[in-house]
Amino acid sequence: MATEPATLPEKLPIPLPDKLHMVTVDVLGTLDWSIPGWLAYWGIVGLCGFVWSLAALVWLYQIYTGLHITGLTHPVMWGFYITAFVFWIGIAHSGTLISAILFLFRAEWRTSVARAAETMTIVAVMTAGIFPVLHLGRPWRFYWLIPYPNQRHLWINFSSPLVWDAFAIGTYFVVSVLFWYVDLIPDFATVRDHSRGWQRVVYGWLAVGWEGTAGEWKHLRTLYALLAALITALVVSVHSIVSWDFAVAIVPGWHSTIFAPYFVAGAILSGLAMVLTLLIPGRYLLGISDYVTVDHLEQLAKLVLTMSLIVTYSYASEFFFAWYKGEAYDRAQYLFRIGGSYSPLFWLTIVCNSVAPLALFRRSTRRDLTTLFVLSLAINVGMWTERLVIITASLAHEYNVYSWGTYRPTLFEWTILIGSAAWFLFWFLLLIGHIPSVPIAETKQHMLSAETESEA
Amino acid sequence: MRVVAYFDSVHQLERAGRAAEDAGWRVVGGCAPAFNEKVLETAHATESPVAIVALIGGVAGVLAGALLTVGTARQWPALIVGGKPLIAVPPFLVITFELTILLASIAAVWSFFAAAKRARAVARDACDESTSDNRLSLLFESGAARTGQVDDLLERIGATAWRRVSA
Repeated sequence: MATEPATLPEKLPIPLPDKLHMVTVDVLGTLDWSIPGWLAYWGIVGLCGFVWSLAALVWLYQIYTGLHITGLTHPVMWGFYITAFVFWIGIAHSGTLISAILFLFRAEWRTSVARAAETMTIVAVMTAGIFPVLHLGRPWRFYWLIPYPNQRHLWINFSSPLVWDAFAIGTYFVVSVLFWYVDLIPDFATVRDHSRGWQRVVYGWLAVGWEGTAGEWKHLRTLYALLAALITALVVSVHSIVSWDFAVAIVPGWHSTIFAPYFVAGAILSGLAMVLTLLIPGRYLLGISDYVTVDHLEQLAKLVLTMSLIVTYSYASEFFFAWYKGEAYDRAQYLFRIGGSYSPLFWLTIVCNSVAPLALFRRSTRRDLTTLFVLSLAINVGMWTERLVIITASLAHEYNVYSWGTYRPTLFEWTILIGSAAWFLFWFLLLIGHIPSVPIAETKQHMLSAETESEA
Repeated sequence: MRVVAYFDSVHQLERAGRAAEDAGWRVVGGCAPAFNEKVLETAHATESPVAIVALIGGVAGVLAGALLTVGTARQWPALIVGGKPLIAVPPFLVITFELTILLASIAAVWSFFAAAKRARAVARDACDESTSDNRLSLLFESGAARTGQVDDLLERIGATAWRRVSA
């Protein structure tokens, strides 16, 4: 008997309202405490809180006894604390840069990583801001650092890059928070509209009355594009200014015109690596692996590779000009880096920032999350040691042989350094765990646009 | 009479806006779960004061930077400036640049909040919990249409649901 061939039912396209609703449900699910992994989440947050509390105790001990418990001494008066300051400011740069520049270039894949990157920026600036205060002998007078005309007759020397730093980093923090917050407003409104109890009250307050009218969208879009443009210029200026803290000094190894672009490139590299370090485990922890896919991480890996090549070029340029300009002190400084007491750190920097990222030329490496995670950690270490070498090796080996020395960090400094990483992770996890970790409205925007284009 | 009509797609909403205006209705506003140019055009939300206010903020930042640096230097000429001129333009430009960005950003955000509040006052009726989730809506105003005519038109223009709101 002839039978009719069985036909598989055709896969029907999901209607747009259902797709939009799925985004709401998925992202709101990450704010629900019953998601798998919440124990791990609170366990890590608690552990980080414990570690930075220990570091805070060490700081209290340092305030009580004085800075002599650190390894800071003549000629190296800038050590771990200033290195950490530059490192965390560098981390802070990439977050907003990824978000703002990729927005201006209409790179849609940024949506998945933008929220985490922007949150990372804010927390990294918060972390960096601690270190100039940690470095003070009398930290209770930290407000003396703030550059404003005052009655104490401590008028400001506006020609000092340290003053530019205060303006630049203060501006960067404020504008980054605004950039992060205005993008969150519609998402807070979505959470408000789909929650009850205290969540409705808190998120309603954060949504500042947002309803989603066409007029509101027009104003928000204009604002976001403006802030993206402003913050892109700001990012470049801020790390240039941080580099001028060093470049305007006549210290061999610091006094170089390439420092501004070199520092900006290094900041982007370290920030991109940190985004990968946070997102690879974070996408599982927060349950957003459907939104932060391997494709998105591969795009980030390509950016890491590009920035690594630029940073490597900067390293080469530094050495080339130290040789080419023929100044004995500069040559001696760079030879000291290659073969002196800081050489293990220098070569570690080269391996981590220039050699290891070359593996990302292979597509399979870019898509292997374990390898990508290990590489991102290596780059974080490499960027840390790069700053340490720039700062301490230059100070340790200046002009006069009798004033050469070596900096050795103490256990107290190590504890505070580890504590700063715990502080960073603590606030990052607390924030990202309580806001929509993937931009809801922007994800829906791409769906609406795709629908509009398909019907056109 | 004011009516809020709901749509499942941007295309439907766009067509509906045109049809309703051809029938003599006025589109007062609309709501959407995300930004979309077509929705904004249909709801006539194409102007924003944010950019011009940001520009004013930026100019204020330039002036503030110049006043702070030059003013301080002139007020306190005994400042130690490391051999540089008292009013040294290159470093002052750095301060001025940062203040320009800061004040332009703050002004832009302030104008956004003010403009968004006005936009809500006009079209708040068009929004509800479904429009922050998965539906699009338009708020129409019609002169003296009868209830039956309104329902006929809304059905014809592809609205999936509608409700009347007080003007």
